[in-house]
Amino acid sequence: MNILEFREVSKFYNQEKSGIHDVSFSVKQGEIVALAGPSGSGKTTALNIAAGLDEFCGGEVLLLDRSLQNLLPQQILNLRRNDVGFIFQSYNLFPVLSVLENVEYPLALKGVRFHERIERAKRCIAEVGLEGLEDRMPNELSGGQQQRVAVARALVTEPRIIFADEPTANLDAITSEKLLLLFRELNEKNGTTFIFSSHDPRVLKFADRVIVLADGRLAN
Amino acid sequence: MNLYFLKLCWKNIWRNRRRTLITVNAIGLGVMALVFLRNYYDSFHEQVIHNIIRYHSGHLAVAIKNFEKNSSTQLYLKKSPPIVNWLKTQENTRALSERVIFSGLASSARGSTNIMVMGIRPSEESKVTDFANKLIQGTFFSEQKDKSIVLGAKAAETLHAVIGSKIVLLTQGVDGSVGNELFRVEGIFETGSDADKSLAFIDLKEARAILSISDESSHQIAIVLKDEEKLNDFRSSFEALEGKEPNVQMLSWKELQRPVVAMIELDRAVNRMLMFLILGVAALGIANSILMSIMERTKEFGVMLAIGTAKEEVMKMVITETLLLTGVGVLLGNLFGVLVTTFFNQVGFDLRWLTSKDFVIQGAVVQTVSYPIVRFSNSLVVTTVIVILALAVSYFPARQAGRLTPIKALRSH
Repeated sequence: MNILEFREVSKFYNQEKSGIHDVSFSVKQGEIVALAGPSGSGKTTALNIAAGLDEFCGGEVLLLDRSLQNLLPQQILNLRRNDVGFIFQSYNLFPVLSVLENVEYPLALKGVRFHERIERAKRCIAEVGLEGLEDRMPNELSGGQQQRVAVARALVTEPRIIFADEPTANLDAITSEKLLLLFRELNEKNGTTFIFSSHDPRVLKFADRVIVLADGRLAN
Repeated sequence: MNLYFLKLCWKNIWRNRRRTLITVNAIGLGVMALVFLRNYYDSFHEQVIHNIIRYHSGHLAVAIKNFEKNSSTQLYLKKSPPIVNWLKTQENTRALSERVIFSGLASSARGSTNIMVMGIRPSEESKVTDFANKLIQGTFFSEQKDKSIVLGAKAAETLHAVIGSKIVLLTQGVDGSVGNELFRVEGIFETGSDADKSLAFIDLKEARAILSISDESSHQIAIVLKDEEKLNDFRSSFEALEGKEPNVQMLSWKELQRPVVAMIELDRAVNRMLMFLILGVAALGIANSILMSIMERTKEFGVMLAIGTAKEEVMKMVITETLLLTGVGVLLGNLFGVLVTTFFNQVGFDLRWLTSKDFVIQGAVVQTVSYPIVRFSNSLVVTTVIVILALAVSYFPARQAGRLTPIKALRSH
């Protein structure tokens, strides 16, 4: 079953900056897919469109069997809140919140009650191997630990699909490998679909499938 | 908004501690100053009103229409006893004083001066005004002597009069005849007001005799109420009283002392203007603080929006942060405003360092020292205004944050 489908999707910014052109691909439930390509190839654009963060000019995007262009802003918001998780290149944790509070955030958005929220957030923190660091502030953690907190934050709502934009770009090789192994572990355990972008050949080998983009077009 | 987001907003306002403290201080100082000033002004105005009442007409005065404008001796109540009796039966009457009032020439062996003479019953008058307590020499008609006069200190000085000196009062009677009488000075009062040079008291009966009016006539009946709040009810009852002479009216101190009322109103208007100015400056501080905080967090808002935060929730968060920031300042400002007021309530707030003399307003002395009283209505007004201003200035930053798109916000640095 396809969880994400791109059908001849195009996005143009302006004459100097192109986006993507007639890109078609699909991702199955439970897959780990990497969007690969050099800088400016359209990986991030494709990822943003897939996640409903960015608009597109032509084609069709089906996310969780729903056509994004037919959804109202509120429906897209609900989709992002309930079924989609995000991991950013530079972690983007809230600096004033502790590890636990950062992971609680998406649950608080959904109105989950305090005790359940704490329990689920702690479980996710343990799952990413940060048990005992719940009360630490982001600036007290290493880059790898911060990215793990970001993974826990993305996981806590039990989304069906997680988008990660260059999640290892700011990590060293060992930490990157640990993070990707964590993706694999969570994928095997929970069946979560991961789509991440990267241009680093060392991390692409962790994906089930690699979709290569070049100059905004599908290369393979 | 649940507790989690309230906590997040609280933590957000303290992320730049120095900036927040500066803003909180600005709000707090403004609120404190205004709470104290309003409390002070209220007590100052009350002192003015109290002194006007205690040196003039009381809360209410009964007289023939227009007497309050030209003080003509011709405008007198021909039969005052029914009114006096009615007033005495009223539960809200604390004290009353029947008066005959005229202007005349006071002469002694060594000088003369224009003077306003008030014929009174001393026992009544001393319950309505404070002159009996302001004597610097002699007594306030306590020796039961005929033809006694109590003078202001400056008038006595002009006349070179001392206790026992002879003073001749000369005026025109209501029938056109010349009224004159010899009096002996029994007392000299000093209030610090204009009354010291232009006012004298004699007995009511003797005043009636000089003006050639009957024993039932008078120009004014001054009334002090037990409960000023019921002043209008009192007047309504009086207006409904049957059998009064035509043109008799009861005026409140506000109608009799219009310049004082105007001065107080002006004072309050200036105070309100000052409030908007001070709080306006504080509001600009709030706006600056919130705007800076939003600009610094654009990327963070992008993350929030990307992971499912609605634009309205982002706006709500910015407004909540503004209210929390304002709330801290307001809380501290009110606390210190109340403390400062309480302190000066005990020791008195003296304006002598700004003005060397007591104020004389409409002939009544108002001391430079006031004892402000804590009034929560003042705190409420100041708090309401600053909260409204804070909401107004937070609207635009909040809208700016709400208009962000996740992609643009995430790309910002």
